[in-house]
Amino acid sequence: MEYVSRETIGLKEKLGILSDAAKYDVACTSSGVDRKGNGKEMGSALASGICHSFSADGRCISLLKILLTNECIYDCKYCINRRSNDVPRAAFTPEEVCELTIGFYRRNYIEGLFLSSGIVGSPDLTMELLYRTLYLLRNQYHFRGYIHVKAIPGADARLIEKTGLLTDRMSINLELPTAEGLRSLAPNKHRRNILTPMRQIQSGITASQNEVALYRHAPRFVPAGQSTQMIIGATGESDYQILSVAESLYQKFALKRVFYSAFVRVNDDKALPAPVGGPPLLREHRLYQADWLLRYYGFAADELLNEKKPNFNILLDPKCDWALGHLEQFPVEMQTADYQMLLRVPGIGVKSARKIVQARRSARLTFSDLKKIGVVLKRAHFFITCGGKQMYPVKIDEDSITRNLLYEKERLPFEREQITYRQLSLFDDCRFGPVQEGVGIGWKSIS
Amino acid sequence: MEEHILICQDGLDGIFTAIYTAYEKHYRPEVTGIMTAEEGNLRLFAVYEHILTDPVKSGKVLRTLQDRFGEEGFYTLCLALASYQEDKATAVYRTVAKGLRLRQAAHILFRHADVDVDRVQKLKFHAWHEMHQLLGFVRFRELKNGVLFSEVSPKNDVLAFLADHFSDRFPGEHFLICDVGRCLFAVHEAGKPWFLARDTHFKRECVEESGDEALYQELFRHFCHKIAIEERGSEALQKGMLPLRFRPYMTEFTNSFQNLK
Repeated sequence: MEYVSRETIGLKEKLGILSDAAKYDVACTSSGVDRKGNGKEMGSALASGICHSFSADGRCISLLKILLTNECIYDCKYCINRRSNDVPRAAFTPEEVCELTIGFYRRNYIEGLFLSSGIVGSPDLTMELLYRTLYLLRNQYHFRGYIHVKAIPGADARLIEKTGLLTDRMSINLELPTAEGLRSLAPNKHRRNILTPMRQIQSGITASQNEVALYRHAPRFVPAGQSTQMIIGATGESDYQILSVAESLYQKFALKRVFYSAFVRVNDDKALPAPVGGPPLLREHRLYQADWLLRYYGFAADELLNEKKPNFNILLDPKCDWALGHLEQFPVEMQTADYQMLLRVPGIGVKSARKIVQARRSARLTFSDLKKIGVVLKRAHFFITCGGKQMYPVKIDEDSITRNLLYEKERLPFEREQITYRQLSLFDDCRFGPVQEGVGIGWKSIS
Repeated sequence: MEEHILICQDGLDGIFTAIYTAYEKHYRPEVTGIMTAEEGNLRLFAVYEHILTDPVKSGKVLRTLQDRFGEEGFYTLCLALASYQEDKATAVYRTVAKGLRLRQAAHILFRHADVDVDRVQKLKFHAWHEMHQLLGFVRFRELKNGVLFSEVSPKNDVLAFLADHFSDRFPGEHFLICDVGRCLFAVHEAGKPWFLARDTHFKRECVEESGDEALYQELFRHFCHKIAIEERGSEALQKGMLPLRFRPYMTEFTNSFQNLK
């Protein structure tokens, strides 16, 4: 196989072009696998993952996130690397990727490699190039650090299997939540082509886990699990649709993570929306909040949203929103409530719920104890009692609690200074277009 | 009732010797404190005692704690003792005293409503968190002789934990991590166990970088610049995740290490 790299441009420009092209991929986690060093080769991995730096957008830099090449035969409308775009193109050779990874890893710049690629020639050819790079890195450069690689939809199953034995995490991007969306924006991609390898990886992981249980040194297939990513706001799906898709991915495909990526308009295309006020970051944030509720808090997608209420409340986080709709289950007594119920109280997270369960074995908890444990009382106190008493005598009444919760302004990660509620509504909730600008936004009109 | 305050050397050995002494003399934990530095504000009714570090005594305490608290519990206590806060020794001592009264000593660490346990957990979390941040934020530079060299300036004394991690990760590398504030060095020679050393006369001007070093630094700076999505820019979020105090030692936030004071 003849593979030509552009000798004319320097390594720095290449790295610039190919990391610039890879930045819209969200997943930069290095978590999910615990691998101690073996005393000879370089590299180890921590189950928690390690962030090595944070870029100017506040996102973590954990892996050397690059494309092997940004040349692509596909023409997906949302993608900067699409065939019809006139952007500088470049390609790494597998050796260059290895040298860079090792050079960066030794200096502790990165936790490992994230390797993706535009489609060159055919999916098979691309997948083979990815495989060759990983093979070199693992066997010739003896790298034991974290590797996350993309599986290319439509590539041969054997190639995916061989690659899976070299990598820690594999991912295939779902790109858009629904098949219609995919058809309209990514004409060369098909839902079936995406789901088939996803299923293959899932069964590969299960088989490998069973094998490892029997033979400790059996090779591990994708030990850190697989993930995927959806673009939010490029097509007209509701939050409920997106969350349901995520839920079924977790349940039916046993995914480790689903990532949501607020749509950034990089191409001027008539098929793409033009979001006012930048990417829909609040919507993305709400989806991540709900995603955590699905994975760690025992919530189901139907509980948070439904056909009648298909989108998240922009003013309240999904858990508060749920609690306000189910006030009949509150207040919860801290001394006796079970763990699952503790998790459903706004202001109590996984850590504090666990600590409450541990601490109450030996002591009667008071509100000041809860504060020490880390419960956010300004949100939680409406919903809990300690020893049968509330912290303050408040009415358990939807209107008054909502008013009070809104008074304590929520801290959002991406918030810039002096952002107002009206600005939020403009770029986030599809039902509040500029036409309704003058309408006062009471929470009632939203929930 | 008489209040006792034991003053000992900072570090596991010193504090463990003080704990041994407190037990030896049958002091009551509720009214006994351990300090690792001279009291600035002497208390009228307290008796102050200076404790000389004794490796035999501290070794006994260490073994007892390992046995009774288990691996995870002992790790928690050690991390709490790595904290820079003044009350760490007292909090750990009182927690240990309460724990050793139980059949399962480590269970004391679950009693989050207890003042001392809560304090130990908070100290531990703070030290652990800084340690975990540094696992990522440490930046090595390759020197002319192939040694990897790094400087950090943590609030908590977490150098040993860092050395442990990096010697596992880079078994075949010579590396040196310098805790600038404490003049401590973690030294690792390829294929050998690491150790800590103190050197107050270290001259950083003598450090000379290898030929490739400047290229890789430049590549990484370029990468960090390119990987950010402009439309999502948020300096506040970046500052929250990567506080400014780490940045003087990090490649991507400095032009060149040679200009560092």
